[in-house]
Amino acid sequence: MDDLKNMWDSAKESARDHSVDLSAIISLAKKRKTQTVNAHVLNLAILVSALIGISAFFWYVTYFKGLLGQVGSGLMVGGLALRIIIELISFHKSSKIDLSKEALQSNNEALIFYEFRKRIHGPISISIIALYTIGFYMLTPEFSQYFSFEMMALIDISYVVYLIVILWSMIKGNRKEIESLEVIIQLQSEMKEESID
Amino acid sequence: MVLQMCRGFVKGDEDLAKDISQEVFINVWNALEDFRGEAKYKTWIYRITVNTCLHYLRQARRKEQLSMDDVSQNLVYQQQPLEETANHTLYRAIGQLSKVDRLIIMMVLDELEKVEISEVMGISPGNLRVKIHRIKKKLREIVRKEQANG
Repeated sequence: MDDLKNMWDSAKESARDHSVDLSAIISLAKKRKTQTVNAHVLNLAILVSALIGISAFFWYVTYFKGLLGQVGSGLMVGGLALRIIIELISFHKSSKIDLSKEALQSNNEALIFYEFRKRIHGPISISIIALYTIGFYMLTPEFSQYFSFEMMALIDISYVVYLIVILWSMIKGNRKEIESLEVIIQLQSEMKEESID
Repeated sequence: MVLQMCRGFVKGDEDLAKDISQEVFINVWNALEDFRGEAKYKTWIYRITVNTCLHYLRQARRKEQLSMDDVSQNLVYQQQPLEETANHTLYRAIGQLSKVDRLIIMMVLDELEKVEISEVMGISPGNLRVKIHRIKKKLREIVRKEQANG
């Protein structure tokens, strides 16, 4: 143990030789903070624009007369609104992870966040997509009164392609969240290992 | 102190250690306005260092990068001058411990008080004492095996 301590002290000496450019760190920190906020704002702006666009389209362009179309458009708009709410909650939860707290507590905050993300990418996202898809297909009978068969086929096929892309990215996201969650759980159990003593 | 902790955590991978220590300084800067003096500056910085190292692990791609350490470490040290071989032994020994044990023993080597380590990790002092005892035992076994293997 003494040998290791001596090795540690001499290695520490060499670490002292590395100087830190404080102004560069500060500017990088500021830039990183702005980038993170901007990414969330951009993501929300895209979702809100889609919500406004789709609502305006349903309200002004394709004002549905039938109950099926009205319920369908409601489901699509509702699904998107739910997605925005979840995004806001997610942003709030991620900002709760405090790296200046005790490691066990900070890791626990990360655990809560990733468990929430896992739920989002799992049953909640599937429910939202299901709502959206049911809503979309509820619109098609009324759409088909105005569009040709070929146009309707194109709309249906493009929706299936969109669905595949969304599901694929969801599965990918879910896998990443689960990997992170496994690491956190492992760390948590390592830290709590002897707590039962 | 920060760079040395990061080095130990990533088993001596200098580039990765510099990346993480940069991340630590960024996190310190970002958390500075919330620092209320409830803990000592030193303990507070150790907390951010430990949490940043653990946070780094959570990201799957980086996790894969860390698991490659053994390979990259061997490649790096083949080109190191003789005086670096001592560090190699040190990082290789520490690197065989679990991530949490690695961080705890590095704070012990840094001569932090048990109370301070307990405040950094959020583990009770009694529990920490048991942990440190086990980690030291593990380390001794690792070093003995290393020496036996030449």
